[in-house]
Parts: sequence; structure tokens; C-alpha cells
Amino acid sequence: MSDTAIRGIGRRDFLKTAAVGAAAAAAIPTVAAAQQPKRGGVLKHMGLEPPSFDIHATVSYQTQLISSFVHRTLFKFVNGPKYGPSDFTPVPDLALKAEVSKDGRTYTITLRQGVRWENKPPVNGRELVAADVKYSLERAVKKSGYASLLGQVEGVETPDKYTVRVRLADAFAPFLHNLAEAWNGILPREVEDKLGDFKAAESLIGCGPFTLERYEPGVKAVFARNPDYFQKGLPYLDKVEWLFVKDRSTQLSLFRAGQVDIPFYDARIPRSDVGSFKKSNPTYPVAYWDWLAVRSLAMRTDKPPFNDVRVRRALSLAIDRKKWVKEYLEGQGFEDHGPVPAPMREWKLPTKDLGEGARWLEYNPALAKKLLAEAGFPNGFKAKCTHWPGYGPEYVEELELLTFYLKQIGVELQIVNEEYGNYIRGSFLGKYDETTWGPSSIFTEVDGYLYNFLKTGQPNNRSHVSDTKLDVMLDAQRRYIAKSSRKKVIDDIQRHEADQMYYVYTPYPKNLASWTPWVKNYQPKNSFDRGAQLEVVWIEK
Amino acid sequence: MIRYALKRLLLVVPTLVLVSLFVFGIIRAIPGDVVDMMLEQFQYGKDAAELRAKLGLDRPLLEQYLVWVKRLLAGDLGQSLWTNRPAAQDIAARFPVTVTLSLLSILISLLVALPVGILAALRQDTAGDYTARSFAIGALSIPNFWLATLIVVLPSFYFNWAPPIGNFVALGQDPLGSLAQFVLPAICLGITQAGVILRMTRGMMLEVLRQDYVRTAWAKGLGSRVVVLRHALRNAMIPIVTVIGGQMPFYVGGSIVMEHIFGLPGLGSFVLEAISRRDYPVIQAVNLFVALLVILSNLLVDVSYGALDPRVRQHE
Amino acid sequence: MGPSTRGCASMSDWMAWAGLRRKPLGLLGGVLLLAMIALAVLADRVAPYDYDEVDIFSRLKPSSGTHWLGTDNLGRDLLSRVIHGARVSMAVGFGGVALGLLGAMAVGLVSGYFGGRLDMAVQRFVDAFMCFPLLLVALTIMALLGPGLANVILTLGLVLGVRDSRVIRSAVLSVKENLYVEAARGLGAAHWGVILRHILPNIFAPIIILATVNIGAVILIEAALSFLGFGVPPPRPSWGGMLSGAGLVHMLRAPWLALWPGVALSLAVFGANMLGDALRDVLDPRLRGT
Repeated sequence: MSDTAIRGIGRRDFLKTAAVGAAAAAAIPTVAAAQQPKRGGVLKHMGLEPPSFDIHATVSYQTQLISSFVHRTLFKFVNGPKYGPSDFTPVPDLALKAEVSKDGRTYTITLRQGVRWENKPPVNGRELVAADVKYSLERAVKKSGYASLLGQVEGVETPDKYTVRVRLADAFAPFLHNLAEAWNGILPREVEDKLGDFKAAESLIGCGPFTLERYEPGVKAVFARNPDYFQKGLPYLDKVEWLFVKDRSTQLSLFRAGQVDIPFYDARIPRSDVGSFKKSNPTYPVAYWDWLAVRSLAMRTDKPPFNDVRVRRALSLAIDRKKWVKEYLEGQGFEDHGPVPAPMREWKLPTKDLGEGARWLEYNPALAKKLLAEAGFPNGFKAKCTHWPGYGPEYVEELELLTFYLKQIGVELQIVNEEYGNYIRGSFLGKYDETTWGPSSIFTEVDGYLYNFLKTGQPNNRSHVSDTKLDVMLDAQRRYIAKSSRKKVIDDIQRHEADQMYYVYTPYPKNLASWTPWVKNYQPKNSFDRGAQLEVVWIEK
Repeated sequence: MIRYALKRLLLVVPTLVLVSLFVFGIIRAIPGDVVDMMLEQFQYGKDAAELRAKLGLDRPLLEQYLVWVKRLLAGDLGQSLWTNRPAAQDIAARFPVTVTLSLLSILISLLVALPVGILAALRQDTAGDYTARSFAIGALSIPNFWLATLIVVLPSFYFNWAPPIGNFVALGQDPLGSLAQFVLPAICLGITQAGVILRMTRGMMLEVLRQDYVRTAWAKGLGSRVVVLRHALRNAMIPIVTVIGGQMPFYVGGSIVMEHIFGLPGLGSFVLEAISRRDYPVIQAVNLFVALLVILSNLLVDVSYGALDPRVRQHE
Repeated sequence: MGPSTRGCASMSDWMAWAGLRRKPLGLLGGVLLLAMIALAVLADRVAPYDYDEVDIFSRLKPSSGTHWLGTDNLGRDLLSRVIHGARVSMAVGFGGVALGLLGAMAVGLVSGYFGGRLDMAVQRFVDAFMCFPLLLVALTIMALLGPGLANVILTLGLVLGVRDSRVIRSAVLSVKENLYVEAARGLGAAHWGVILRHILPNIFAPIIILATVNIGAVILIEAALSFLGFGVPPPRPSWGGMLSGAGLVHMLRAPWLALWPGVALSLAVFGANMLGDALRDVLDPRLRGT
């Protein structure tokens, strides 16, 4: 990869990326010196049965996970134990490099040559070319619920067989990064022509490390090594069995018994089971890893009482975040208090740098009560809080803890459990009466946590934030391709949010992951690109 | 006899119509528009009109119903909104799993309930009777999801052993290996139902034992085993079998939980998935299919009961 | 399940209670159920702590002098939660059963008493409804209504009501044939008068039996719904919710979280079924001891 990989505003940043990418490519033989990769073996992985196999028809991560075994993206994030679970440095995948114009509106992407689709109808091993990329990008823009994460795509051109040019209406900093998301997998048009869409399992035909060997509804999907994969020598595994067992206790039991190698789609095990795993399976590795689903209490800031900033600050002051992490999360969590998740270290602003806003993040129930009294609620008030209990018992516990803290300053949260459909089309999109609590969706690009939640009129702006100053900053950070300039704006956004407390963020746990000891070179990863994660894994029994 | 069977069959017609109306009503009972909901909920594509047309929601209600029934009669149960797979195909693949689980559960219930129930009846109000009934009701009192979870979790924790789950083998592939997957869930489901059957067996036996012909047999000096087996049990069996036949809905319902815990790809886990994804055509199809199954098993039980017991025919 | 006719209500009722005394298991069941009801009613006074008093410094502690049954995942007193759980579970149990019986009686009485085409039509509805598995219907309705205590009660009441109307109807049918009912009708008594004065008192036995047995069933179904994610929302504790929520999550680390709600739930169901069984033996003359 040449150091002219990218020209224009973001040059220096992408240079770093490119360097890491080169290191990653070189890393495979280096690792081999320490630990010889072994070819062969079947990895049994707890998975999830997707509602559909069309990555554009649904925003479901289950679909992205299963699609990533077969479909590749233009760029991918670094993988393997050398990189952290939240290291989202993009490296070349189907593309070799990308250049961005000075105004940040035109991306010229050069494709890898000689990549072939699977050797089966209707593609029959045809070469993957620029027209495939154009087709897939245009389909994503037209159909995907995530389309807004690509900015405003004006047009996609294919000057030659291996070059794709994308024109944006406006500069959009997260563009290249989001191309590496699994929902941006490149799809072959012939499949849609033949089957009508990509919903059925038979449509899972790609060019990735694995091919779909068998799909048994309700049981499992079996992936086999793609012999024609363009990354020579990869993957090491012969097969991956992606199992659809749904009951959590059963999943963990099968893992304890060694019947599966990875106990969850992201290798997670419950916090409360660390001790029992040490007892029943002392040889299993256990690792803590960061997670990106921030939790927040969203409020109707467009009407009383939550339109009063004193009330919102009071709610934040009532929460003893330190104790929450130390006692309830047993030290394994983040006292998180802002929109940017703590594991995104390059963007996260530490509390001490939050300026004025930092005051409202301390634990000070006396001040909270004083603020409430000033706002006209000396005796507190009651508020309904909608919630979907299906996120899991641990989330319910967190909400109960929040309820407890708010009760101490006289604010009584009345939990209203919602059925999933009502929640996701209601509260999740800001349609509720008073407050709602829950985790955010997971994004790998910081913009996902900012624009969606804080920009006026966005569907995910659950707190109904409408703040002109914030809107200007939110638009600006999207336009700055240079990371340093962008970071300054994002810092200011975090300061402003801490002071205004449009969302009251609550602490959240680190994840625990475990896998069977014979699974080598495995690293839990905060992305849904399972294919890229597992192609470097091998089994050594 | 044929007239009786025909009469029963005729009674099925209105039931069928009502069942289809119920099932049809499910999707329309939802407040708001299903299509809007699906679009918002799962960002299901972006084309509302396409989805609406696919569900046939753009036409008058009566027409929708008639079209749906017409398709049903042609064997088309509709197809999943998510995967495009015909519901009939999935039901056909999953139905044997639920049936195997149900039959095995019934077998286990009977194996436990019949002998214990008979003994309890023979020794009414003795310590043995109390123990047997306490056991029966005790078994009824444990939530079966809890029993099942303990069976799965404890051996894995203490012995690093778990039942064969997650690698489902169909009956046709490997009959023994396949049955092995059903044993534990069938026990969990069967134990609960054993309590019901045990109590009924005991009750029926008590009643039959008091009948004149049994007393006569006893008086004639026939051995007690002969009396119990040949005379009493056979007569008590008819109502017992009827009741078990009528329990079909219970087994399908119970298998929702068991299939979930034991990772069995049956109708129960299928419908649970469909409900959580609001895959209406599938919810409709499974509900309809299960109802048909129940109607059919009731019909069979009724008719065979009529064949066994002439009084039923006359009474009707 | 076939209940039958009895001549004189008050006489045989007295006999029933007298008979129950000779049923030690039934008596035990009755005592258990009464104890649970007492817990539910007196929960506020009996429970040593509030059910939602969080103390995260002492979470997941085993039983001790201050917390007899230990503490739960948020450091709440488990004993208090189990006691308050009685309130929710009994509310679901009795609420669902009461609602179900009301429905069953309305449908069963009308259908059985008036008979004819009305009966025919109503019975086809019941037939159709009974083709759907109870848990499946409950799940579907819960998915439509959304979770909540009232919705759980409503759903279970509806499902049981339709199912049990069958039993009520057949009881009404057998009572209807009695001479005094015909006599009353012959004397020109109004339908509702006959139903209230002559039929209702005589179908008391099946109603009582249904009520007791159903309480157990309803508590179990609530637990199953909780397990599948459609139960009573927190922080209100229901036994089913405690068992399938924190109980499952912490079953290896803190087994008491599942043990005690489980024991309470099983005892209540056990008690209700035992009592129902004994009542059936006593009230149903076919099975009455010679």
C-alpha cells in the first residue's frame, strides 16, 4: 500500500490507517512464529437465527452477523488478539485504497483485482468488479435502514472495471469507516435477478472466507472454507457451525460441557457466572472486554418537567455512579456519563475536561433536592418510564438501581414494561410520554452516538433535543474530514451535553467473554463482521 | 356408525369456519397498521405499498378473507415476510418434531401414571395412596421450565456434561440418536402431565371398581390381578384415552417451552420466533395448522370412542 | 371432570366440609393456600423490609440474622420479596380465576340453560377457541396487549373462562333436568329467577373445584409467561418472575434466589391442587367413598 493511498484533507489520518493495515497484513506470518496456525477443524459457535438474510431489508444485527461469513465489504476493521475489541481501524478488504477529494465530497475507491464470486450458479466464479460495488451501494442507499450512515450519496460511477467513484452531496467524515460495516457487504446482482431478493438462505452467495454449506431452520447454519477466497491461506478453519440454540442457560451449559466453543454470538458470558466457570471449567480463558451500548434515561425535554435543565441535572446528581460501578458492577464497568461510549478512547472526553458540566456528574443528592425545589418540585414528582424487559435480566437490574437512586430525591420512576414491538416503534423512536430507559444501538463510528441522539428531528433523538448550538456542532463534525478538527467539535458537543443533561447516562458493565481453550487467536470484537473475526482463528486440540 | 361419523364431521365445518375467522382476526386485531409497524420496527425494507400488497391489506376485508381461504384450500398457507419461505414448508419440517415430543411425553406420562394411579385406587386412603397423589400433585406444582433448566444446567456444572442439544438430527437420519434428544424434554413435559393422568386414572378406577360387574368378578373368585387388568382397567381406559386425545393442545403449548430450552426445531419454537418477529403470515399459518391438528385428533377420538361404546352413538 | 346433581345444597355442603376433615392431604392443601392468602394480605406488615429497598453493598448475600433468606441481586431482602411475591401471584391467581369463572359462568349458564340454537352456536365458538393451545393463545394475546399485571390477569381470565364454560354448561344441563327446575318453569318463574335461585346454587360444586384447581394452573402459566418474557413487570416481585429472572441468572452463584420463590410457588400450586382434589372427591358423589 503506498503512502499516497489517500489524498486530501484526511491524508495524515489515513496514512496511519494504511500503516496499521500493512502491519496487519504482515502480522499473519509474525504470529505464526509464536504460535503456528493450524488448518482444519470445526468451530461450534453459538449464533443467532436471522429474521432474513437480506442485509438491506432489516437493521437486525443477526442478519449482519450471518451475512459476514459470506459477503465481504470494501474495507474491514482490524481483527485478531493484537487489536482491542473496540479497535475499528479500517484496513483494505475488497478495496485496496480510497482517495477523497479536497472538498470531501468525492471518494475514488480502487478495487482489488482477481476477486471471484463463489463457483456456483448464478455467479459461477465470475470476477467481482466495480459494477457489483455500484449495484450494492445503490441498493443500500435505497433500501437499508442504515442508509443515513453513508451521508447523502448523490451518485456512484464506475470509470473502469476496478474503480468506483462515489459523489456525496456534502462532506461526510464517517463515510469510509461505515463502508466497513457488515451491512455494506457487496452483493452479486444475479442473485436478486434470479431469486427476487436476498431474503432466503439460498441467496447467501458471496466471495468471503466461508460459503454457506447448509442451513437448517431452527437448528444451525454450517459454513465451509471458501477454497477460492482471495486472502490466500485463510481461513484456517474447515467449518463453522453457527448454532441457533435460544435459551441462555442451555447455551452456557453446552459451553461448560464443551459441546460448543463460543458461548454466545459475541462470546459473552454473564458477569455473575465468572465464579462458577472458574470452578467448572478452570482451563477456559476469561477476558473482560469493552462494550459500546451506552445506557441512558431519555426524557421528554420538550415539555415539563424535563424541559427545565435543573430537573435534568438533579436526576444526574442523584446517581452514585462510583458506587454503582464499584459495588453493583464489581469494578468491571464504566461510570459512563456522556453520549460517547468510554471504550472509544480516541473520542471520549474525560470527566475532568468536561468543564462546567462535570459538576452535574458528581453524586450530590442534597444539591439535587435543592435544584428540584428551585424548579418547583420540593417534594419530587412521579414519572412513567417505559422499558423493554427483553434486553435481559441484567438491564432490568440496572433500571431498578436507577429507580432506587431517583427515589432518594423524591423522583418516583414508574416502570412501564413494553412489548418489543411497542417499544421499538415507540419509545425507541421517541414516542413515549415522560421518560424511557434502555441501551443505545451499537455503532462503531462515533457519529452514530451523536447525530442520531442529539440532532433536532432525528428519529432516534429520544429526548426530543432541539438545540440550535448543538445542531451546528453536530453538522460540523460530520463535515470535518481531518480527525483533529473533528475531535475539537466532538469535545465541545460532549461538554455541552454534560451541562445540558439532555440524556441522563447511567453506568454500564464491561463484558466478559470466554471460549474453549483449544480455540486460538480469538479476540472478542465489537463489530458484527464475524467472518473477518473468525478467518484468523484456528483450533488446536 | 358411518352416520355417526358423518354427523361428527358435519359439526366440524362450523368449527373450521370459526377457527379460520379467529386466525384471520389475529392480524387485524392489532391496533394500528401492521405494515407501518413492521416498517418502523425492523426497518423492513422501505416499500410500504409492496408489503401491503403482499399481505393483501389494500383490499376490502371480506375479499381479503375469501382470497386467503381460497389460497388455503389450494394448500397455500402463506409465506414468511422475512425469509420468503412458504410457511407450509417450515411447518412440514417442524411438525414431526413436535409430534415426536408429544407422543414420547404421553408415553412417559402413561408409564408413570397408569400403574401408580391403579395402585392408588386399589389402596384408597392409605399411606401409599397419599404418597402417590402427593407425588402426582408435587410434579404438577413445579414449573416445567424450571425442571428442564435444572436438568440442563446442573450436570454441565458438576460433570461437564450436557444433553445432546444444538445439533439436531432428524428421526429419518438416525432414529436412535434422534430419539435421544427427545428423552429429557419428554420427561419434563410428561411428568407434569402424569400428574393429571394419574389423578384421572385413580378416579376412573375407583368408579369402575365399584361397578357391579367388577364386584361380581371378584365374588367369582377371580384373582385380583385378572380383575384389575381385564375388567376394571379396560373400562377405565376409554375415558382416559379420550382425555389424552383431548390434551393435544396442551402438548403443543408445553412444547413451546421445552423446544426453547432443549433447542428442538419444532412448531413451538417456530411460533415463538414468529410471534417475536411479528411474522403474521407465519403466526396465522401455525395457529391454523395446530387448530386443524386438534380438530382432527378430537374427531378421531370421538369417532373411535363412538365405535367402542355404542351408547355414545345413540345418545348423540 | 363431570360434576353431578345433588338434591339439597345446604345439606350436602355440610357433608362436604365434614368429608374434607377425613382428607388430610386436602386439609393440608387448604391450610397452605390460606397461609399464602394471609401472606398476600398481610405482606406489608409481615415483611421485614420493603420489597424494593435496594442495598447494593450487600447484594447476593446468603441467609443471615438480618436477612433470613439472604439478599437478591440488588441487595433486597429476599424474604420480603417472597412475601410480597405472594401478593402478586395471588392477585394473578385469584384475579385470573375470578375473571375466568365469571366468564365461564356467563357462557356456561346461558348456553346450558337456554339450550337449542343459542347453545349450538355458542358451543361452536367454544369448540373453535379450544382448538388453540392455552399457552399459545395466552402468548399471542400478551403480544398484542403488552406485558403488565392487569393484562396477565385479563388474558388468563379470558382463556380459562372459555375453556371452563364447558364444565359449567354440563353441570347446568344435568341440573336443568331436575324436577324442581321444570316445576319452577311450569309455575311461570322468570328465566333469571330460575337460574339464580335454582340452578346457580346447585352448580356450586364444579365452580368450587374449578376455582381451586385453576389457581394452581394460573400461577404456573404466569410463571411460564414470565419465562418467555411476558410476565408481570418489575420492580413488583412475582414468584414466576423472580424464578425465571434473577433466579435463572444467578442460579449457580446464589441458588437461594431461585430456591425460595420456587418453593413458595410450588407450595401454593401444591396446596391449591390438593384442596381441589379433595373437594372433588368429597363434592362429586360418584367418587365419594362408600
